[in-house]
Amino acid sequence: MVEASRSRISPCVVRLWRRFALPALVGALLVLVAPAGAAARPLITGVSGMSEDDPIAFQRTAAAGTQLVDKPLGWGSVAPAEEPSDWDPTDPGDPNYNWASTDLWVTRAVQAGLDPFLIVDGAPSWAQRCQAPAPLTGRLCDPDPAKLVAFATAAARRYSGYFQGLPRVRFWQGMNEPNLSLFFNPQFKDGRPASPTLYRALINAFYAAVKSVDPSNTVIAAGLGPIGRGRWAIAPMRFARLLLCMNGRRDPHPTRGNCGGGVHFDVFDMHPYTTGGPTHVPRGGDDVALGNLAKLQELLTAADRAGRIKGRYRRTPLWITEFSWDSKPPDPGGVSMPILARWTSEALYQAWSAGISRFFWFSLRDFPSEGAPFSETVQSGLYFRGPTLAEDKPKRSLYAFRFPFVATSQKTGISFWGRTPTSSPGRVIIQVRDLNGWRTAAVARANRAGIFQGVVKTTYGRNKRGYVRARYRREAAIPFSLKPVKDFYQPPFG
Amino acid sequence: MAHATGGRPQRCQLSQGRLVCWGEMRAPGVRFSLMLVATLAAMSTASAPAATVPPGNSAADQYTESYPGPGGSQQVDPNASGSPAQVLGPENAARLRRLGAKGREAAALLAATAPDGGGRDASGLNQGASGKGGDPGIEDSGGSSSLAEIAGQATGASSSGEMGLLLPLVIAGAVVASVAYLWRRRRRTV
Repeated sequence: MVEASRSRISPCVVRLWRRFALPALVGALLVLVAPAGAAARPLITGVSGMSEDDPIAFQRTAAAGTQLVDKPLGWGSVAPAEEPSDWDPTDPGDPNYNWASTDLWVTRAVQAGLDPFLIVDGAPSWAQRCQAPAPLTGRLCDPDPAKLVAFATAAARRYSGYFQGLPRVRFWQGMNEPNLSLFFNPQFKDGRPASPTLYRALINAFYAAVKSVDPSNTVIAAGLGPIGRGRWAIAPMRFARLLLCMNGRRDPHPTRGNCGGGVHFDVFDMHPYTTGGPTHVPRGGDDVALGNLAKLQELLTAADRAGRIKGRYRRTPLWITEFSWDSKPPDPGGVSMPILARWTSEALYQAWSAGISRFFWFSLRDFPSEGAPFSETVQSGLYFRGPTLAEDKPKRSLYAFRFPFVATSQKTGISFWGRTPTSSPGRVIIQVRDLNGWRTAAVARANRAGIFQGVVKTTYGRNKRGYVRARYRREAAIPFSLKPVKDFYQPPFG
Repeated sequence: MAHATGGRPQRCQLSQGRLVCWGEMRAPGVRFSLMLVATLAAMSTASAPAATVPPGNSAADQYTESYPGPGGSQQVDPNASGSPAQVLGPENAARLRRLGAKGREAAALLAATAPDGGGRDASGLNQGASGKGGDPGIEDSGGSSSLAEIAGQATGASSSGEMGLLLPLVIAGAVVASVAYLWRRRRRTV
């Protein structure tokens, strides 16, 4: 067929055919896919910062291939502004509490088939033991652990599955980004880091409260911001070491003493926003981005071994409940859409490779800029924000998030990794693009977590050109270019 | 970036049986040198981060790595109230004091604008950012010494990815080479 049509096509096309497609075709005949599914380690995704309670928002979240959705549970907005003289703060039915918006949100999340995840955050002024100085006025300042116990008990009881027909919430996080002055104060006292010690008391109290309601609840700690910044933010590795009473950057080991009986949580959470691409390693020795999660894993392993972490698991899992980049458009300082789609897949692969089992994208839809500079607002949604939620438009990166797939050209062939959109097992077809369109190069098998990986023995893409994609059932992943994209300076929020 | 060559008058002359036009840039060496200069100039703009994030507490600041500005990687605290002796070390402060009013003014200015922890280096009391009781204003520099950092900047080996002193040296070299080439060629053709 090729010979017959040769006379009608230009010599240039013939040359291209000989150079790229023919070797690929021969290579495909010799295809050898490494046994996929060797590791059944899952990569379950979620969407974070999802404050909408419209059913459409939850449907879209689920349609993004996610199983989890999180939202801050604002202690300050549920609890009364003034502390009542006569009330029971541990009673979820106390009339002084206003749970209406959270009730609706949790109910709709469960209706959409999602597992809700609440981050108890903020505090009413009467539960704070200091006031943050300017320019941090109004930010959270030293919440009282005893008062947090009461609120967390009420919240866990309300969403225990046994209260007024409300659904159950299994995942509970105590506070958000306690290493940043944006969310927690004071960071330092008399020149010494203060927030890790304060946070240790809080998370221990929170753990006790949430577990007292249902020991099978999962308590998530930290959710650290990625960067240390002078007196405003403690670098996450430094914060984690101080929190867990560990010493040593290179060889983490416990400090003297028993760390007040240890730190109680089940899962450690990190928000590894990068100032570059998915493999970017930050300059600061104690900063953590997606590209250097291993050192945080190493610290957690050492802390587990030293008995510092008192949680459910022998090896404490590390989750990522926030990660994203702003997109261009709409943010002129964001990542262009083709690169964003590529980086989204790569970020998921990078996280999975680092042992992360839960990965949340921040967020479902772009935030409104409302006149603020783009660098100060978040345009990292999976959807472009429209005038109404129904008018939001999906970004290309949404498809990469739903069906992540990466491929790299190596000496032995094309190495690939992916996760099926529904995290379900099955047959996955790996295709390469040549002059005639997409052509099957290999067939892989996704394991029970939906993960598939392997190597296609082929000469296709040896020159770092060409596109590869995966097909699962009737859905195709975003084509992945074999041409690498080098890391470059890119602030996460544009 | 578009290169406009049309419309410009070209000065040509017959030389050794060959028409040489000055406006055309026929010589590959000259073209290469100019391209090199243009590329390096473009690189110098591209390699620098678009904006050095100032210390602060906005959402953008606390999620984005800062890159060294004129004050280095350490941040200047305008409210710092360290004395000149603390910042500069007692000997240097005394030396400036001896210079009279101007010296005292300079010492005061240095003390007011010094990065956090600057004085500790001078007085030999640097405890390191991650050490116990480290100043909150000092973040870890990743373990490289000041001298190594200066050498890195000078040779372009800095981990920041910027070219440091190397870039102007290369540009200057390229310009000198171009001028020398043109001069030599002109001597040959005249």
